[in-house]
Amino acid sequence: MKLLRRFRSLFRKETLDAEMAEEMRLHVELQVELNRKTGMSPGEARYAALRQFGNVAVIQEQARAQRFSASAEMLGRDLVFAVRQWRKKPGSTLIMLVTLVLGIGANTAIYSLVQGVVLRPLPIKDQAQVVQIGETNRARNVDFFSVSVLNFFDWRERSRSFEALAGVVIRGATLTGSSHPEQLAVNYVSQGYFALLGGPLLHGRDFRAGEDRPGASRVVILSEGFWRGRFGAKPDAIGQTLTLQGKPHTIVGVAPRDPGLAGRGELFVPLGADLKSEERDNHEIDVYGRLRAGVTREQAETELNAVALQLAREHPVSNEGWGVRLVPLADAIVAPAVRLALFTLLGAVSLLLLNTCANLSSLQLARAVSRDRELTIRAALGGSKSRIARQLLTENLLLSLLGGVAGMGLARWLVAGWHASSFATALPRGDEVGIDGGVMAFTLVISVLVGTLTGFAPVWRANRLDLRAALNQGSRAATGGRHRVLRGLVLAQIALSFVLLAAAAVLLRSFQKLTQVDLGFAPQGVLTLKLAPGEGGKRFFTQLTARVGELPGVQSVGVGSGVPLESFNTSIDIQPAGAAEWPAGKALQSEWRIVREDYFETLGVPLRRGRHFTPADAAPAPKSIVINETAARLLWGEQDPLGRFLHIGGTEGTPSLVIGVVGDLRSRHPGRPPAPAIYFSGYRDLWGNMTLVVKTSLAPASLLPQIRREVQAINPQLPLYSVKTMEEAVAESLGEARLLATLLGAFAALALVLAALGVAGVTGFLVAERTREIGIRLALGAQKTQVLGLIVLENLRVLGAGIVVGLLAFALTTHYLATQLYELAPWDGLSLTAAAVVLLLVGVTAALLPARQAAKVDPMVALRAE
Amino acid sequence: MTQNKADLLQGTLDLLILKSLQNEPMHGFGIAVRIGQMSRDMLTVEQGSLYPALYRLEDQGWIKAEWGVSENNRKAKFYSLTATGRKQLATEEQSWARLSTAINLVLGQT
Repeated sequence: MKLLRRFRSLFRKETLDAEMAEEMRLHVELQVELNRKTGMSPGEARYAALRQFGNVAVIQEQARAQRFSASAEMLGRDLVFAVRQWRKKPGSTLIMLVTLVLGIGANTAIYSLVQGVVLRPLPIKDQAQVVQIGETNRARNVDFFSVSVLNFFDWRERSRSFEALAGVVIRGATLTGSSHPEQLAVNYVSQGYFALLGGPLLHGRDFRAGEDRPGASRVVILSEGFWRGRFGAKPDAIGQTLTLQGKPHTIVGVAPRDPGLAGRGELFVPLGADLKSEERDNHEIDVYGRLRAGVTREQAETELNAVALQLAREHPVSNEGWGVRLVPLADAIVAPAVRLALFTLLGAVSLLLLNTCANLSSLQLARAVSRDRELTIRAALGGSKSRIARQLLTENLLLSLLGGVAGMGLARWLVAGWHASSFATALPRGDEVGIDGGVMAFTLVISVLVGTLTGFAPVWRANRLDLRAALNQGSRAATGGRHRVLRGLVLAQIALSFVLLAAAAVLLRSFQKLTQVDLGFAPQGVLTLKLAPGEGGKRFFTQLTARVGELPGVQSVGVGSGVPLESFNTSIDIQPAGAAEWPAGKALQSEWRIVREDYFETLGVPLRRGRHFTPADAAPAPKSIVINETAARLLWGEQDPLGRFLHIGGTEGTPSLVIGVVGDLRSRHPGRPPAPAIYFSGYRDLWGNMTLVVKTSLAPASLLPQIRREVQAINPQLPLYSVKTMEEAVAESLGEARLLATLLGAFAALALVLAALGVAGVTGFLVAERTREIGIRLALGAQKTQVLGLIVLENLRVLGAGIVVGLLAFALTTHYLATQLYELAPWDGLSLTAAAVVLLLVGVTAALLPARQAAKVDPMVALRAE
Repeated sequence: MTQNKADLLQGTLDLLILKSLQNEPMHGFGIAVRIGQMSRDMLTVEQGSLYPALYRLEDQGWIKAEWGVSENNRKAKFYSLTATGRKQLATEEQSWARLSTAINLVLGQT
């Protein structure tokens, strides 16, 4: 009822006023009558009554204030007044609005990034209880590795700490039946995978117990993406068949989108592990577990390690030295390093927001000073300080809320750009970034915060107004010592901008260094693609490479089990055979690949000694091996490694003969120095899937149709997949570094714009205040350039001080920055100097514009102006 | 504006207004007269406080107003207690009793 009445009173202002006047008139009438009864004359009675009643207008005013509608009215009046003020000074209002939009928009965009990747909970209930389990091997320097399938099944039986354990293996499988055969990534999942991780299925049903046995009827569950893309999201997909690996599978369900987990595959099939033929030392399953209620992660880890120890005793050959490690699910999906980077970004963009606030405060303060007279007159007429403060705050809040709304629009645009760029796939859960309720709430909060903070300055100033001094503004003392707060704010802006500029400069330089690093191979003009020919792979590749080598524009062709900068790695222990100086039991962890044909030549890896593999190196020729320079150096020092023997994967079995040494290459990341590597002969052994590498003088992608034709000429049903140029691979590997550098560069640019606006605005204001002084100087014979010089010099002082403070602030960030840099120290003289110079230039230019305006002043006009 | 009449605090004014409306509806002038009567002329309500107080009480929902005809055949706004207003009156009477007892206790100490 109260609300209703209050709401209605908003619209009945005039009626209510009339009623109030009526009521008070009656009161006076009744008093008059009372007075007359005591014997006064009509005139006296009336006079006494009115006197007793008091100042009607004031009472009415006070009475009105009691009405709720009064507050709404006041608000309405404040808003109208605010808009009118803005229209009087459209230029500076626009600048403030633009500043707000940029500041709030950037913050919202980054926050939505943090929200989407880190803060938003995964669609898994009770996710704190879910962990990822990896195997470790201290002796081999393995920190967190995929699990062996047989170990996984044994854990399921023996461990007591878990409510559920599930795992997934991702393998490639051929899908036939449509226009051309395709190679897809398929998730082979154990029982209970969806119950543990995937959440309720969108359609259909989970796998049933027994469907993972070798003889059971084959079933498949589609991923949401696959279902939408191939079946148009129609529910009648259930029941249809897909032919995988040549065998028909019935579709029984559709799974919801994965929260960035191992489910990179497009289809789900039960993991039918043939326990007899599986090898225990093949580690290929990713395992997740839900802890039992009351069991902590540490307890579970201890218990599972005990089980692992048991298994090591039962199967010493495969399990010796293998332990386990449990990682909380959130960390498994978004590595703590990524989380740290994102929060740092948030910190950086908050600096930007602070900069925005300082900028706006200074602009508002400058405007406030010019409104001194207006405000003092208000105060003199009875306006309470709180009323004036309310009006100033309302104005600020309105501006910042408007800025917030527009800023959200900017953020939306930025997020759309994010999804369109390659960054969305570079970060885990990057495709889940969007503007949701949480982000909107965040925008609202910071808009209000900014509005309140920037409102402080003029309100604080208004409170300190000395009535008389303000009204006697006629004399303007020409000292620059006033407006300390204003200058302080500008200094703060310069300092903040410097921090961002310096950080950006350093990151950009580091990124540049990364792009120029010697990779050890030549990515230009190289196309890579994968093939899984199955039986007769050796013959297939011999034929294929011969045919592809004949294509016009092809310079060389090779085959390998992988290419540099791929996301998976394979490694093995090696040790020199019969080396007296080599400590017994010590092994060197080395990366390995299988290579054949002109693999090294195609990738531009030089041969340092010896020779490459030839078809003659197939069995029954003795086992031969090619090693890289680092391996050679670590194994045999300066001695010639050719002709020596190497034990691979333990000291049993025949060692391999070293027949060649090739140059080092960076195989994991451009920023990581090369590790020891060995290469097996692809004429001897092949993997199920291999990578074809082709070097061409033409655009690599243009060769694809011809290569496909050659492949299908040999095997019509064989799909090509994972097609990529090496240049793309290099660019992708630099994705995270590029993201950081780009974003920080954007912030720095923004900060620079804001600083320029701030300096221009404040200088303009200060110069306008000193018009009189400038006029005097000009009249006394000063040159225009001298006046200009004076103003610029004063600005330089503030700029210089700001940079010094900025340097100190920058020192606080060096600790984190150092972790993100490649071969560069945070205190990089070149970057810091560049940042300082840019800031100075921009600051001076920003000050020059209003300064030039001032120098054009006609001395007579200036002297006469008030 | 006589000096030896006590100044009234806002809260106590509310209480007095509510009390004076306990038995019958009245217009503003009548309420002022009534309070003066009930206090045997020891309290005078300033119009400057009366009307703002009346509007505030109306806004709170403790009294409601209706237009009617006054004794001298003029249109007047009559105020009366609402149900919540009656409850509020009872509550405030209790609080006042407690407060004055406490103060008397303190003052009674030597």
